[in-house]
Amino acid sequence: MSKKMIVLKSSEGVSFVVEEAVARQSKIISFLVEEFPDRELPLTNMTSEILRKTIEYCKKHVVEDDGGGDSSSSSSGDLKEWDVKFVAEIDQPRLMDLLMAANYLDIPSLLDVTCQKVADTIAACNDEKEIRATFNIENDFTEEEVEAIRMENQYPI
Amino acid sequence: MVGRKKKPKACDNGSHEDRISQLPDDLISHILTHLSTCDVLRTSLLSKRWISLWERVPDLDLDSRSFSSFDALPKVMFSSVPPCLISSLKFAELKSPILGYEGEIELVRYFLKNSRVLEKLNLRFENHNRKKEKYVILQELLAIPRCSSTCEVVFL
Repeated sequence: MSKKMIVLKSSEGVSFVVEEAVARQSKIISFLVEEFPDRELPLTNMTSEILRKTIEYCKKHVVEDDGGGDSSSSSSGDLKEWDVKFVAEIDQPRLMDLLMAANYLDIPSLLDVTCQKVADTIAACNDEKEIRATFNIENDFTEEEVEAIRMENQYPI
Repeated sequence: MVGRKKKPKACDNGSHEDRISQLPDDLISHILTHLSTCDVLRTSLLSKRWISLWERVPDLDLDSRSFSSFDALPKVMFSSVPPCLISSLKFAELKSPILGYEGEIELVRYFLKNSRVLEKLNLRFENHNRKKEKYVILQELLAIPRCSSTCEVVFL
């Protein structure tokens, strides 16, 4: 049986031809494919760059899932390693885009991997000042307000 | 929906926009579930946007080894019971061994008294605790009234 292909279109109008099994890792696309079988699916809030990344992730994961239902622990370990490398190579703004894309397309494993990467970045910071600097968060507290929060929680944070 | 505007080409660390705070609450809490409790609480100091997001995290992992600046655990002093205890906290674990300090017992009491949907609270004992002391502490812990009728206290 030849593999069925579907077409996904990015916000810039670029078409991506993808195997249906790859695209179906997104629960949203899976639903849309059933509703509109022979249509091009426009993903108007995803740039080509992010769509390409998302497809790359789905391709990798569909291959691994295909390679035998009871895949050995080493292959799932390899996949984990691949995931870590995959998000490590992405800069922060694009990581946020990818996280949003995973949420929008409903791809739970990609959402988990991207959230984990953001969490690891937060955990690697020594204090809240470093977290703010890393993510460009503006401190809109007064000194007194910060003290009040510290007092309320009574944790050495 | 309208396509995203093309962003200026990123130099080293990318744009100077605060993207993380713009994420919906659900996504931020999803990120927080991947952090230790201490790191989660730290995020409440980031900005007003973040002040109560930590309350949405369903599992708190209280590792009292991170409270090393205190002789015993600090007193829990919330002005009101955090909403996560009332509506979502199902599992909690005190990772460092219980030695019998008043602060530790108080913390356990606070959790059991205020967590309405708690299903499991894991506690550890120091191995070299003398049997008799251990028994007394155990008695005290088991006598604490529980707010959740389905809560199980497990001693590891």
